Amino acid sequence: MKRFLVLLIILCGVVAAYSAAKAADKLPLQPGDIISITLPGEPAFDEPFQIGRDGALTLPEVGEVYLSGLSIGAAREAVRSAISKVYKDLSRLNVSVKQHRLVVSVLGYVKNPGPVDLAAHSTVQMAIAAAGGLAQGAQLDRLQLRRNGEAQQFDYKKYLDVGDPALIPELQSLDVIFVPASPLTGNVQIEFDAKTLAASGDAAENGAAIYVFGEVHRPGTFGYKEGSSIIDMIMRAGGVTRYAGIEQIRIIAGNKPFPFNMREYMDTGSDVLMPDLNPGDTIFVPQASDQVKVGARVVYVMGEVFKPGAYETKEGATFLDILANSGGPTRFAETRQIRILKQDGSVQPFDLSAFTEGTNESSLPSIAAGDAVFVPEKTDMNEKSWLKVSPNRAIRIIGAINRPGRYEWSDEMNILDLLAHAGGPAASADTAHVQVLLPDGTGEIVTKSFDLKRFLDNGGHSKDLPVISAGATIVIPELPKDPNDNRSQWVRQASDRSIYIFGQVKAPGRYAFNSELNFLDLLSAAQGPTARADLSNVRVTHRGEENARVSEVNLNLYFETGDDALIPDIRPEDVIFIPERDRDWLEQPRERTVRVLGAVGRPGRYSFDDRMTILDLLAEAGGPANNALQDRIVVVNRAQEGPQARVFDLVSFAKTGDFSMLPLVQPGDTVFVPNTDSSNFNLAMGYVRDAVSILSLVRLAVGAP
Amino acid sequence: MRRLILVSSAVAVLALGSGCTPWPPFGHGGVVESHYPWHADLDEYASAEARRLSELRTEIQNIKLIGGEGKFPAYLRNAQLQWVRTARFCVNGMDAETFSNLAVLERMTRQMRFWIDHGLQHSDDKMAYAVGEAS
Repeated sequence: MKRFLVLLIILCGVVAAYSAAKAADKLPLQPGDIISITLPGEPAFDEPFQIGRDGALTLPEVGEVYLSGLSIGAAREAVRSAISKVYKDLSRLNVSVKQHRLVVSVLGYVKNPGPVDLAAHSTVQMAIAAAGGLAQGAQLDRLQLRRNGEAQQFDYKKYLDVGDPALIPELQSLDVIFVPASPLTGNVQIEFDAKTLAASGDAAENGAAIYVFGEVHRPGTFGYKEGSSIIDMIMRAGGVTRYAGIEQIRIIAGNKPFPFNMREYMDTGSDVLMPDLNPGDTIFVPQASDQVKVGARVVYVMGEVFKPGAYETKEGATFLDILANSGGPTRFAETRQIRILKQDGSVQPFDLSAFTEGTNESSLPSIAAGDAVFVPEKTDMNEKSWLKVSPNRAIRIIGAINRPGRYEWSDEMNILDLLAHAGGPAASADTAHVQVLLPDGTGEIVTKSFDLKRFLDNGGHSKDLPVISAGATIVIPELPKDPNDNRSQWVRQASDRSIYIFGQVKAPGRYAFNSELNFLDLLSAAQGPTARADLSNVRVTHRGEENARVSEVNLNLYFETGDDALIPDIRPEDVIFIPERDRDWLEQPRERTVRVLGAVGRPGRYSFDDRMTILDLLAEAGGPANNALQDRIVVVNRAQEGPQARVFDLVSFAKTGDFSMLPLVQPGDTVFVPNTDSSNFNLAMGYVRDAVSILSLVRLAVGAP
Repeated sequence: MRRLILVSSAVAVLALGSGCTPWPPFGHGGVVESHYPWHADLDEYASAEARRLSELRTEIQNIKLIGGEGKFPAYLRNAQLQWVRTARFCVNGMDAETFSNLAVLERMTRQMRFWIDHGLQHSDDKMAYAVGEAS
């Protein structure tokens, strides 16, 4: 079976070869065909003959025999007739076509122009290849085939593009293929490379070319091909440059410009947006900066982005889309202060850093056509111009701070961040009275006080910190450098942070005070009470409370008992008065004094409380005078049921030391020390003297003997 | 002799009738520094106020002994002074003053007893403390 199949295949091959030979024999002979002539016994015909370009064979001893255009049969007879004159026995003459050949000429821009001998059924491409191939600068779309004096133009490039044999003519012997030179080669033969050639386009300079110029990488003239689009042409021109305004591409056709928005086409892919392209059209790609972009779909991105400019937007485009299209923020961008300038004139701030860090709960801002995104430049601390930070981005910190100044602000920061950035409070800072000045949005400035010291000492929740925003001013007050030198700085010291101490202290005045200090601190700062201070009657006026209140402080009792409960709580703005013990009697209320009259050294009004005795009082008044009636000192008590008088015998007391003899004396009483003239004896003796005198006068008048 | 008797009688009549009036009674009292009459015996004064004063003195001494002096020393001292003040009015027969001061002393004593019974210090009830001191 296998052997049968092999035999069948061989038989088929033989049949096919025979059929081909028969078919070839039917073709008319052409120049170049190789003819085999056999005449036994004549070695001159052992080699085959080729029909020359003139259509004739050159036979030995016979000469030329014209065979072109004849069939093989006719050619056999022509040969027989020609050689019959020389050779007698032609009974075994045989003429056959050994091989059909094509003899064509390839001229023009080929490497080896000239005649080429080709196998039958060879194509133009094979002919060009036989001529060494195309030379640089060949114009492929305008090759010519010249046959019988007529020229036929064909687009060899198109054949190369699509591979359709119908696009190129079939060759016949004696055809001339002419490859023209591209007009880009100019009139002077020079060596140039393919890139240079391609850089200037690939089209002949005629009305069928497409001109592409402007912001493309290789502007030039390009050959039009059926079905070519603007995109094809731009791509052949190397594509657009980075400066191209692809929204405003122009196609000039028939002296009329037509716009082409390539970006929109790229976004949508709609062929409707693509204008038709015809031979001779011109494509112009303008520079993006050549014109101000406006439109209903434009969003502007400005500032510190890599590619600021106007961008076409579309429905659903987000802020991040816009920012990414602009190349994103540069390393100089202040991404915490991005602002979106809405078309209605409003300004919307956006903190991109906080958003990316997840510390900002707000969502991405919406972007609509006509909006502008401004990415400001990050402030350089070394930048001398402070004007770069606008007031609505800045916060001020002044006073007792190590680096007072004006700083950029972000709402995710708090006052502790600001203080840390400003170097922290100075050593002299009064951190218990930090002032926060906040604009309320209506032009008014609201002042709030914050006890930073307490917060730092005791801790607390972050919400206890004052809420500050851009535009605020933080004032860190300064403590007096020397508590005793308070007068020199009293103006700088707010009254609500001060306390007042008057009267019998060595340094009365106005002192800085906070909740950490107490009454004794203040008394010490005032260098303590003087020797004339009445410590039993210290008064504290409590201000700032709903009801006016005065505390009476008995410091003597405090020093006697050590009971801290006697020390009053004082607050800023309170007033402390330490009276003088020996005040002018006019300043003394009657309820606190005792009047001492009569024979004492210094009669008058004296301060008195119920821990004193009449002995103290007499001593204070200089003691009884020499003529004092010391055993009859009278005390007039101011009793509720009416005054009552009691007598005190100082002489008897001095002899016995019996304290129970001391009469009750209380403030408001009167002590009278009579002199000796008031004694009963002296009064009686006076009366006696008066009586004796009267009697003496009566005696004299009567004329007694 | 008869003349001498006549003159003497006339002088005595003039002295007694015109100049030698009786002096007020001698006073009674004491001094704080001697603590009189803190320790005085008030039994000789048979009034109800004197008896109450004697009872309050015992109460104040008790409060002092059970810790009052450590918890509210100044208030205790003021109560003692108030007791002295009241007693001095009492022994001098100034009834109105005795009565009003005794009322204050009663309140102060009750306040101290309250603090002792509830284990409080002056700082726990400073306002009451201040009121007591001011009185």
